[in-house]
Amino acid sequence: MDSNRAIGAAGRSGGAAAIEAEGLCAGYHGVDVVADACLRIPSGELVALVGPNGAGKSTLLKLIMGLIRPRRGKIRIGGLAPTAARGAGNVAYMPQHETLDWDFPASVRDLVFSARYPRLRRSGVQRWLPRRLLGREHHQAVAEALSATAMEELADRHISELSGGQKKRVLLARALAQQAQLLLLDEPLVGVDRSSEALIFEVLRDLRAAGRTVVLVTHDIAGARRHADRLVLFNRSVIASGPPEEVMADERALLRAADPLFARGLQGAD
Amino acid sequence: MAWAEAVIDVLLAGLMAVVGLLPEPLAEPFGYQFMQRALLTAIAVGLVCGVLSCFVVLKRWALLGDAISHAVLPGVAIAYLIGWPFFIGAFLAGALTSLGIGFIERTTRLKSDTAIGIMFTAAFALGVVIISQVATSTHLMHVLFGNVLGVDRSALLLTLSAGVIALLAVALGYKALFAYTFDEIHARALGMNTAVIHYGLILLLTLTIVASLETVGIILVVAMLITPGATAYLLTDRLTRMIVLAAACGVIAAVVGLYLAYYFDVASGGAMVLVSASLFLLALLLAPRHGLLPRWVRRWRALAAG
Repeated sequence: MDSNRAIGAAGRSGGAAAIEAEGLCAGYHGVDVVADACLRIPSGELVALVGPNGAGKSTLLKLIMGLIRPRRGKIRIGGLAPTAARGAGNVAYMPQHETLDWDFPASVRDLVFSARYPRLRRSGVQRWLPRRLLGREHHQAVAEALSATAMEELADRHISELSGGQKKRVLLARALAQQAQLLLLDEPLVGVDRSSEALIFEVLRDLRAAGRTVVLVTHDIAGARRHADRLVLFNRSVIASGPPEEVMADERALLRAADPLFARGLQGAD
Repeated sequence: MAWAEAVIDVLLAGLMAVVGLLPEPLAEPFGYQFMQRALLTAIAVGLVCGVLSCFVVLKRWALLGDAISHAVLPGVAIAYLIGWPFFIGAFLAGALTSLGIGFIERTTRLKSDTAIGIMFTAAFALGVVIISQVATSTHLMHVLFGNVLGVDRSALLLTLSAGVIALLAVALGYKALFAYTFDEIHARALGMNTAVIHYGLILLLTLTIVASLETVGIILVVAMLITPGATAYLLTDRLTRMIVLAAACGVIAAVVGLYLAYYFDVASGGAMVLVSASLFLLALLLAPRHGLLPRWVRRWRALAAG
């Protein structure tokens, strides 16, 4: 834990934070969903991004991935422009599983393999080759991702045969197989049973131990508080960012972060 | 182009060697040169349409495919007017229409099905108007419904080249197509340029449609771009197998359709599409996991056991 804080501190002194945003404004049709957000996430931290529905969390994720451009302000991912970081395969993304078509003709392994694309692209002709002919490191990365998420035995199942928790685990395995520096997880804990949740947090802690940065969007404040190094309260902009205990102690920030319903939820989580 | 002619000759000779192994009644029609060309064209069209139909089905692009195929008509007509090769006009018209659909979608609040409906009917109408002015109804019928028995060597060459391009693109770009078709946002997160993949796939569709014009015609080509993929989708749960099965369905439909057209003297395009639809019906009833009969049997057994 302390050593990981040291990695974070090194990131700070080296200047290349995992995420660094200043005065970020972005939105759709002229309405800012994200307004004047400032954020600094040192690398090597496990970060929980918490905020009410409609707070602009998904928009923030899209800004970090460079899928939309900020109307104003600056954002850097590991010192790079978001599109450059994404193009280099440095950013892994785990979507919510409800948005996907699980009837798609693919096995668990097929899905996890797709995340090797950024690496394959850098290894010359391999990007054009069928899977059987790919280098061992790719098969190994996929095997490791499957084993970390306890999906090995289901690797040859069709993806429609999975339970909700297993679907989350496949998507997590896909994000792992990319071997990216920064992982963005959108609600990885929704609809997940307790054993899957414990497993997911174990994977995230291992990632942190390896010096990766993990940002998870979540409604589960109790879990975030127990497991995360940093809690970021977000409601159109960053209200508070710091160690969970500090942030939770700041009642003014909590109230500002939240619509009334959400604030009640926070107190309930105490 | 001498080498292209040589390639065609080699392919035709190879095909005839295979046909020679067939029993007499099946081999007999291919004594004619025009039937040899028709067979090679049919196989190429069935193969390429089958492969691409998987992506049309999975991307839910059935309506878009229909639109592009109709939109090709004014291109054919204008190319005919100014004396260009018709496939260039067709290709340009198809590509322009798909760009127009994208433009309407992005810049207005209209959804894609409406944008598609507007663009392709307008383009098709333009084609009908031009053709009614300059050509006989025989020409129009030929473009609308195709005639594989009338394919000449230049059309065969065009179909084969388009087929090779499309197959190579799918084989080499398979990983990108897989990621893009399953999860577009994730494909972008992986650093793929999804706009290039999107329009690349549309260009491949346009190319395939143009290459199939003489064989099945504008109206029915979309059936060859939907039904084989849909049939294969009922038969398997893996994309690679789905592509192989769809290609097989496409080739079977095209070749059997060609026989029907020859023996019963019916429209070749229609015959091919009917065979294709029959294959789909078989899969719908009998597919092991997703078919209706096996499902009923399983339910009945469960009831009997419970």
